[in-house]
Amino acid sequence: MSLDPPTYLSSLQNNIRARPIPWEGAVRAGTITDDQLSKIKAVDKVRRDLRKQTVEGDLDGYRALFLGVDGKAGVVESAARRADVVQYLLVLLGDLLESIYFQRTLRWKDH
Amino acid sequence: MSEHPKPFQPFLPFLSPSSNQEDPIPLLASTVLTTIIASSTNLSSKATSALPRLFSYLSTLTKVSDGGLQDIAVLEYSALLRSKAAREVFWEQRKETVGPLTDILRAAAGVGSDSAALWSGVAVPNARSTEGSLGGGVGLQLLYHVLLVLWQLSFEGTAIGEDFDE
Repeated sequence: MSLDPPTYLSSLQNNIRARPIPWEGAVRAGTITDDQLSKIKAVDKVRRDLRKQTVEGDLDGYRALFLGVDGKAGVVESAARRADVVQYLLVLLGDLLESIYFQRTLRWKDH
Repeated sequence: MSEHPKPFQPFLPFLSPSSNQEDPIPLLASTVLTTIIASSTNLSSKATSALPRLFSYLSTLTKVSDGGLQDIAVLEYSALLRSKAAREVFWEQRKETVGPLTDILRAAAGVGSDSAALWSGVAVPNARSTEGSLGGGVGLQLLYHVLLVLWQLSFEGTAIGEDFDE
């Protein structure tokens, strides 16, 4: 979006980013797998440029993480019943998308 | 993201009307969907098929009395309507999508009509919105974004022109 995000939305997102998520518990409960957790941890609460680099280096992996692959559900779906986890993942996904698309928009403008 | 065979499927169930208005999940899901759809240069048939659900959800936000939520919905419309295919879907759903926007305009202008009566004169106390407001408690920023969306629609003038005047 070209304009600053509405305050209500950005404060909601900030609030959710600051929440602690019991990831290990979510793994034990079968909400997410160990593999998925390590992918999440690799981009969660890390520097922006590192995050972008990680995602761009494994686009297929991150697409599968969120959306699922070959009939296996992604985390958005598998965590659907855990409101706290889903909220956190949606905000994280929004951040990841923003970091990769923003760059693409800049490149597009150069041409 | 849009290269996935069903990129929107996991998000769509979250868009169902929730019993709890304060539930942030539909709002967050709609934001993510909007980002994915708006950033694909060519709108695929997959995206076009997800749009009606997304527009329906956003239209419920444009009808609430919270200017902050209305503004988010209208901004998401604006991001989506950059593509012609999306503008056509939006127009097909015009009762749902455009209707509430004209209600906002009526309220801002202070024109009486049944839908505007809800608004006019009653300044909705709104802690979330800090911007200045015109008649009927409609924020300037919201008004600007509504007009922006209607302007984007006008690019489909030949298809919608006559109905638009109504």
